[in-house]
Parts: sequence; C-alpha cells; structure tokens
Amino acid sequence: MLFNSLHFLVFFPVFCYLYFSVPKQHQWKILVAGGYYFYGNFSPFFAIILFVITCNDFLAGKMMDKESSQQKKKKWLFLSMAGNLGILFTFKYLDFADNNIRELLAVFHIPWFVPEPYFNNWVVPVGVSFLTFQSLSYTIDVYKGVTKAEQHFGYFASFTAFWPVMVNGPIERAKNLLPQIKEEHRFDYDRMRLGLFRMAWGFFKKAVIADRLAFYVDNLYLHYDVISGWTTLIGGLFFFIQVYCDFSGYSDIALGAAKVMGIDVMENFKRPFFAKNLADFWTRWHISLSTWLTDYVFFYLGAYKASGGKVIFNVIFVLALCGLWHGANWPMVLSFTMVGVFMAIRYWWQANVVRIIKPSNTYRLFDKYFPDWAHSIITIFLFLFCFLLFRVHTAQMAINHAHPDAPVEWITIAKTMYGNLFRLNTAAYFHEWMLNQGVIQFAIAIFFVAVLFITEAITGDSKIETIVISKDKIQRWTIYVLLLVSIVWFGIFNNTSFVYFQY
Amino acid sequence: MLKKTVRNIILITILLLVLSSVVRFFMPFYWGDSVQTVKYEYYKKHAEQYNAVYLGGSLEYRHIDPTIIDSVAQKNGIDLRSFNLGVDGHGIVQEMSDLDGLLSIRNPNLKYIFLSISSEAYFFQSNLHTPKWISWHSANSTYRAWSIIPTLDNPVIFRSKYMYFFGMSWMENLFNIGTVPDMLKYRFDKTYLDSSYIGKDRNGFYPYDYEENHLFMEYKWEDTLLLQSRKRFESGDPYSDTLNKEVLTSFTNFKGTEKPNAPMVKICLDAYNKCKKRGIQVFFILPPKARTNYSLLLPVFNAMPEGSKIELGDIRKYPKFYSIEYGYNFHHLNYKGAKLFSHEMAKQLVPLMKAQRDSL
Repeated sequence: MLFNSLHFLVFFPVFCYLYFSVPKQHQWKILVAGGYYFYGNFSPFFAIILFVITCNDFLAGKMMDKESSQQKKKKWLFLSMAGNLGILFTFKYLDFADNNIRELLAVFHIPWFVPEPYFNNWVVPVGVSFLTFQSLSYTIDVYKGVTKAEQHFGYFASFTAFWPVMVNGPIERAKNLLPQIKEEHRFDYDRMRLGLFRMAWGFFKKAVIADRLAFYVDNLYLHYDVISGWTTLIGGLFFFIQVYCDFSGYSDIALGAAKVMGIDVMENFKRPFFAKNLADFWTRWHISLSTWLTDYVFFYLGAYKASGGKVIFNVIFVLALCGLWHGANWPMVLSFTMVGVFMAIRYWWQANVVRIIKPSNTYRLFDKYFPDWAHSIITIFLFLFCFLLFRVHTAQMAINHAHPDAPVEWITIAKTMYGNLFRLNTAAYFHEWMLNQGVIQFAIAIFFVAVLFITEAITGDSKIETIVISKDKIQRWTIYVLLLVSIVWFGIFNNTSFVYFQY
Repeated sequence: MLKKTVRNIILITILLLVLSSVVRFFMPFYWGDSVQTVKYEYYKKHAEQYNAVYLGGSLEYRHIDPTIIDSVAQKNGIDLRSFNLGVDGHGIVQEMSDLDGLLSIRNPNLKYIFLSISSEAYFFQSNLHTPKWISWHSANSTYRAWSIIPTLDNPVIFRSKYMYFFGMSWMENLFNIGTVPDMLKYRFDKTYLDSSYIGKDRNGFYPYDYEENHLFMEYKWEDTLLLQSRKRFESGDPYSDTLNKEVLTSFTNFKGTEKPNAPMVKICLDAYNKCKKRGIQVFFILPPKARTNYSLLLPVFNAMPEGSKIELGDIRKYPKFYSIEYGYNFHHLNYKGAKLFSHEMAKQLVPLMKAQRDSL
C-alpha cells in the first residue's frame, strides 16, 4: 500500500481505531494484522516472504539465547544472515550477478548455462532491502549481546511487520522498537497532533515537491544527449532535491504515523542540504542506513582504528556497499563509490584531525576562511556530481524501452551527461526543459523548494511538528491550513510510488 | 479528546471546502480542457453570431462540419448559423454538464442545440485525476452518472468501480485536489492554448485528419495511438468487421418495443424540456461508429420526442460510414466521411426544421 493513496487514507484511521480500542495484550495482533495487510496489499507473495524472514530470525534469535558459547551462537547468526541475505540476493541481485557472469564469460568465449533472460522478470519484493536489514540488525544485536532475544513470536512479528517503517525505512533497531511495541498505547490527543502534522509535512514534501520535480528530472534524463551546461547542473540539483523530498517525505509520514500510534521511530534525515562536509552529510541523510553500515560493517572492518590505507579502503568499500544496497546496477555502485572516493580524499587531507589531532595547514585554512554556507554548497555539489549516476540505470531502462531499435549503454548516458555538465558556458535546452510544463509549474516548483529550505533554515535541528504545536492557536491553525491547502491544491496525485521503494 | 479530534478534522475540511469553492468560483466551467477552453472562449466572444450549437464528444467534434450544414439549410430558406462545440471524450454525462455551462453563456439568438446519444457514463481511465476530467464534475453530474451506471449491463465490479471513479472525481473537484496549478496556468499563462482547434473555417470543426502531428503535450500519447489506430483500421483489421457486425445485429434486432434505459431517457428529456422552456429546440443525433453498443442507444434514441431525432448510425442505411474509405479509425470518420456525414445530417435536419417552422 502506498502512503500517498486513497487506500491508505482509509486504512490509517481504521487501523488506529482498532489499535486503540483493543486491550494492551491484543495490540500486537493489530500491529501484525495491519503490517501483513499493508505489505500483502502489494502482493500476497510479499507477505509470505515477510513471514519467512520473521520465522527465520525469531528462531535464530531464540536459539542464540539458549547457546552459551559465542561459537555456537555464530552458527545461528550464520543461519539468519544466510536467510536474509539469501532472500535479498535471490530477488534483488541474482539477475545482476547472472548478467555480469555472462558478460565476463563472454569475454573468454565461455558459454553460460543459464538461458538469457532468465531472472530479469522476477518481481523484487517492495522494500526487501529495508526488511532484511532491519531483521538482520536484530540477530546481529542478539549475537553481540546488545539486545535480548525476543521470546514472544507475536511481539517479534510486530517488529518485522511494523508497517510505518517496513518498506521504506527508517531501518529500525530491535532495542528501540521492541520495548515500545510491548508498552500499552492509548489515544493521546497531543501525540496525535504531533504525528499528524509530521505526516502532513511528509505528504507536502512528496506530493508537492518531489512529484513536481519529477517532471523536470525525467526530461533531463530522457534528453540527456541534448541538455547541457547549466541545464544539466540545475536538473541534477532538482534530482537531488527530488530524491531528498521523496525519501525524507516517506520517513516523515512513517515517523508521524508511528507517533500517532505512540511509538517513537528514529529520525532518518536531518537537513542534509545544510551538511558542512561529506562525513557530516551521512549523519544527516538516510541516517538509519548509514548508522547500520557504520555499526555492522565499518566498525567490523576496523573503522578509523586501522592504518591510514585501510581506513581509506574501508570508507570506499562501505560506500560501494551502500551503492549496491541501493541498486543492483553498476551506475548506482559507481555513484556511491565516487562519494566514497571523495570522502577518502577528505579523510586523507584531514587525516591529522582524526589521528594526531593537529589538522593539516591547508585544511585549517579551508576550515577557517570558508563560511558554513560555502562548505554546504561544496558538499551539495560534490554529491550532485556523484548522484548524477544514481538515476542513469532507470533512465537507460526507460530510453531502451521507448526505443528498442536503438538501445544505449549506461556508460554512454553517463559519459554524455558528465561531458555536458562541464560545458558551463552553455545552458542548452534550458527554455524547452524549464517550460515543458509551463512557466507557472516551474514557478510553483521553485516556490515550494524555497518554502522547504527556508522552513528548514528556521527550524534548525528541532522537530518541525514540535515548533508548530508550540505556537499560539491562530499561528498554528494558519500553518495547518496553509500546509493542507498546499498539499491538496498543489499536490500531484496519480499514485506515483516512492523512489526508494525499489530498494 | 477523540471528539475534539473529530471536530477539528471536520472544521478543517469545511474550511478547505469553502476556500476551494471560492477559488473555483472564479473559473469558467470549461477551464480544465485546453481544446474546450479554446472552443468555448471563441464561442463566448462571438456567441450572438450563432443560433445553433452542436454538443457531444469526438463523434460530433470530428464529424460535424457546420459550414456544410449551414449552407444546405440556407439553400432551403432556413437561417442556420451553427458552431461545433463538441470535445473529444465527452460522454452523455459530460455533455449534459456542457449544456448547463452553455446555457449560462448569454446568447439571445440561440435557437437550436444538437445533443448526441452515443455513449453511457463512460470515461477514459487515463483521464482520471487530470484537470480535464476533474474540472467539470459537480453534484448534478455525479447524480446523473450514478443514476445511469447501476442500470448498465457491465459486471458489478466494473459498475462499482465506475461509481467510485465518478464519486472520487467529484470529491477531487470539490477540494480542487491537485488542480490549482492548472487553474493558475489558465489565468496567467495561456500560451498553452492552440487556437487552431477552432477549426480552419472558425466553426469548431476539426477532423482527425488534421490532427496528426498537431496534438497538445497532454495528448501526446494519442499521437501514436491515433496513428496506430488509423494504420490498423486502414490495413483492414478484422476488428472492424466485428464492430460492424455488432452494429448490424443491434439495428436488425431492434423492434422499437424494447425498454429504454430509464435514467438516460430522463437525462435527455430533462435537457430537452429545460431548453424548450428557454425557447430552444433540441435535436438528438444518433451518430455512426459509437463505442457504446447500439442495442443500448437505440431504445433511448427512440424514446426521444418526434421531430427531434436525426438517425445516422444505421449501417444498413449508411454503409459508407462504416467503410475503410470514409473512416479514420474504428470509431471515427475521416474528413471525407465527415463531409458525407454533415450532408446526410443536413438532409434529415432541413425537413425537421421546416416542419417545426410550419407548425408555428
């Protein structure tokens, strides 16, 4: 079920009514039923996969709890990892692996036994990467002793089927979510106000900004060969903002819905466009994934404690892995690897800060004489540069679908786009690109993007809903009405799914 | 607390409803469709030049050439100055909304309105959630659609879906859901309007032959669709024979005693009487190549008042309309077909008008 659908508009109040009506001991049942209904609505088959993941990790957790030695626990952890990563690999990466093996073998003229195409029409369960990572974090935490194994299957099933976060994050941890699920939750007016406002803010980002910018982003990628210079740059920025609003919009709705239910979910975004450097960016963008990768991969590899060369490798490796998590295609992996390379360069440059406390002279000067906003702009453009690749695979699919007689390689699209990006003495097709939807639509897009960033600048790191709710009645209601009017009047409602659903 | 929540939700909904109504109040009824806007704005400016108007969907817009009909009528001593206000995709429900809108445009000279009986409450799914579709929905149109849909022969699941879509579209209209950017576009940036849709003779007629490579951005998908459908049709696709057989069966089996679809008859007669009260004569046209089965349309058409019916759908009487030579695609005539259609329509219309004049 999509958050931005009429179905959800009916589902949510009905769910809340049932959830708050039943006694405490039955609330988990409503959570599980709601979760399976929500997820099974995409396809009943997805619900079966969810059930398999739940059984596998519940069993692994419980068995680890019984084992006394770490060695024996490791076997059960392996079972959990094999189950989760096996599902993830089968549905998401098998086709990618198959294609790469085929191409590799073709170089040596060795035939590959799998007929082509074989796996490419397998349906990837919505949000399977989120589901598996959330569930996997539980078994790793049980293994590490961070979390106690859950003994009640129902509570554990409510954790894996916690519908606000299950398909698009934030990737929650059992130690945060499970204790809250077990508590009694009753309807609370103030909490409901906070939650609903946060949800509305999420809908605003998604329906008013992200889906509007999608017009321009689609055109940028579909006409990658003729658009160049400033048009590519602004288009790339639009894409960056689109992904941010789409994904953080979903997280806001998830956080808000959970809040209404009385459960606090971790923040997933903290004004990433105000990040002062690449490392800072990752503490603000998709926080639940970056902390997941930091906790379970980066620290496992030795984090910053390793030698300089190893740290650089670790940074690039984790970012490449992050890219692979985002999409089973090379442009995506390359996109994040490039971010990793930039982060490694920064680390190398700033190494003294971390390792010997004394920063290098050039870094000190850079840090001292560049204002915060300049740092933010540089960070944004470095990410924009890397994230141009983010969408290349999807664009390639769309272009090849529209013109099967003249297929293009992703590398051609990427090379052309980067080539065009650097021709900053031009702004080819800017008018056509901008006016494709008319001046008014463009003006509306710019206006609401400005509203978003001004709001983020004003609210700072505080939660927007807390600030709004603390205002006096007139101010509060003015904001309610303006937000609602913006969503209802200016939103785009054609059931567009969320960009991150494919991950 | 729950009461307070419900109260606040109701309050904010009412507020939104009021604000939306205020915004919509400043919009003309035709603003959501660019072709309709072009045609109605032209008509509005020159309304008093015309004493007759054709309403309906593409079967009227693309087929009725007012110049031909006017000249035939004038040769027979009848003063007819007509304008084609048909717009693609307008079924019977939207046609009635168009009629309501048309009557609100001041034109003391308006004497004749032509309505088409060519569809039930149908819609193109791709139009849902677009201003073209949302903009015209009202309590009246929803009532009309909801009265027709349950009586149709489609399976219950489809009928329920249609009811839902019409109801939903009305809600979208009430709250201006996602439509305000297009309203602003209409108010402040009319560059998207293409006046060529008024037609070469400035009479609202624009056959499909002119349409290729001349479509709006919003209809871009139709560009290929039109071309494809024309090629399929011209290649002698057997689907054409299937459709023709269906039409033939409907006309052959029609005895004239069949019970018509009551809500459709009521809607048409209401329109007839409403116009009559204003001194306007309504003529009902049964066009050829309708998408809706003639076994549904024929009894409704048959139930219309005598002297107001122009029947042009019968494949036995008008086989040319169903031939490849005169067709554009499965459901439309080409320019040649449109000219023939207009002549045939004029032939039937003149005696009706003469009889009406003589009776006065």
